[in-house]
Amino acid sequence: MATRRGALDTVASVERRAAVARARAAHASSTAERHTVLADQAATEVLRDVHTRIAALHASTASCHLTVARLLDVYGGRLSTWVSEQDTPQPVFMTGVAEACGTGSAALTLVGAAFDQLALSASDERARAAQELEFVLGEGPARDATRQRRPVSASGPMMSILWPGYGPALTELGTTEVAAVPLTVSDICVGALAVFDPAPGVIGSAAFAGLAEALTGSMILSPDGEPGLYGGLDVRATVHQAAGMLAVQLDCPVADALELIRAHAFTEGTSAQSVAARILRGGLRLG
Amino acid sequence: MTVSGTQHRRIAQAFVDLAACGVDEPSRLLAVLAAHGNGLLGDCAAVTLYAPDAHAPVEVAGTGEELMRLARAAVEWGEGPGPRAWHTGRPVPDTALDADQARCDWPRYTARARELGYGRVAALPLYVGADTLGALVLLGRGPAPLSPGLLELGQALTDAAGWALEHDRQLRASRALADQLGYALNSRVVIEQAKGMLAARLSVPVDEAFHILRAHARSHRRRLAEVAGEVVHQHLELGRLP
Repeated sequence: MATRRGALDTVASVERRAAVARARAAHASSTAERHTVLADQAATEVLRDVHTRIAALHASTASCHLTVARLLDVYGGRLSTWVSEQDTPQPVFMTGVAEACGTGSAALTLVGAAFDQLALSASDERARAAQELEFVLGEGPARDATRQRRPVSASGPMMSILWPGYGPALTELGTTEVAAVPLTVSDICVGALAVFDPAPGVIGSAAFAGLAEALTGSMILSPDGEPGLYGGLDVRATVHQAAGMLAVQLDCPVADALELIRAHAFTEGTSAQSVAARILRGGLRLG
Repeated sequence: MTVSGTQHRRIAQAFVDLAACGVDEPSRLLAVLAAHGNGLLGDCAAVTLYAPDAHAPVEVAGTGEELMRLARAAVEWGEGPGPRAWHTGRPVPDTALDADQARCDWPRYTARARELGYGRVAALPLYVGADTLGALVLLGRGPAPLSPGLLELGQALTDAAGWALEHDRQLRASRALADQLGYALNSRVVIEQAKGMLAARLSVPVDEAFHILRAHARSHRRRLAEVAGEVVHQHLELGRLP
């Protein structure tokens, strides 16, 4: 979506998707209401309990769809403003997610079957730098949240105790607190949502967990969702190109070449992206 | 509805059984629903209809082969309370099988049901998400109407089953989408790796390496990711474009 003209199509698609999410929310809400009424009228305790439980489940579904509809509204609004403005950076979907988490900084990581980081989307440079650290160091909150399927958080010195490489590096970037929740639906886990220096009360809140649930169920794993986050999803193309190039130069498997790029970035204290760019330009030969 | 202690326990057990069925076995869930409908609802007979989608055959569960045959026939004829509740998404209230309207609306169904000794019938829609995918049909012997309390209980059981089916449907869809997403992202990674490898082997820019990959995939009518995977695993050697 490089052009402003293309952005207009995206605005239309964002609006359509928001309308679908709202319709789904309305249906789930009305079902929840029906069961609440039935619970009130129920002749027995058991029947009341069943209706109350069914109502709660539908209410939670409704809230997921509404959360995503609101995120889409915000993003659609910004995108349509951007079309008419000159010289402003193109809005990213994750900015709205970060704001909804009570922070200016959030990152979403998608993992493969072996928990390998396949893609990321960051609201800003700080979040991107933090995800880059996790990618290079192989440790951090998003990784732990994904593997352990539970919320993870740490602040101050605790960050360095939990993650000896990642913690100090994140502190150096000026971040003092981090939290991540897994992106799960039932027993499926597709990644994690991490926030940096969130507002007080966000960590451990139902809203934060609900946001991750809504993103997973209504955006990433929904038949009418948008797992690409409107072009905001980055698969680290240059890093994988460089790994391919390096694998030929060193006659080694591509996975080993990727490890080598990571290790080199770690030693140099730079990003995998910058190491990759130099390999691709022919300015750096490893091994 | 007045409920005795025994009945109360049976109702509780019905919901526990419905929940314990798990969501992977829709047919068992429906059988449990029908069985409990049968046991719980006095002298009623119960049968469930369920069609997961428009192309799948209708699943019928119930106690008694005769009753299930009647239910299948009703679906085939497109008449009777079950198909009506299913297709309209609205409950069919307690109806006398010898009433004029019923005999006029459902001539074959009423005749067969009365032969089997049933006097009353009602049907409750099976809601699965936003759709109605089946029904619970309750049949009473003799002329006594089916009580409103009984129908309320029947609908609650049906709703519980419907919720489980919806949950199952969503879970299957999520699993399929997670697989698709993983495949799509992995494909993109492999394509980038192959671009880098080809660029190094052929000493061409990365963009040109991509053109070579795409040209090969197109001319051999193969998926780009497949071709890229073979390049990465060195099962395929590609040369420069002419």
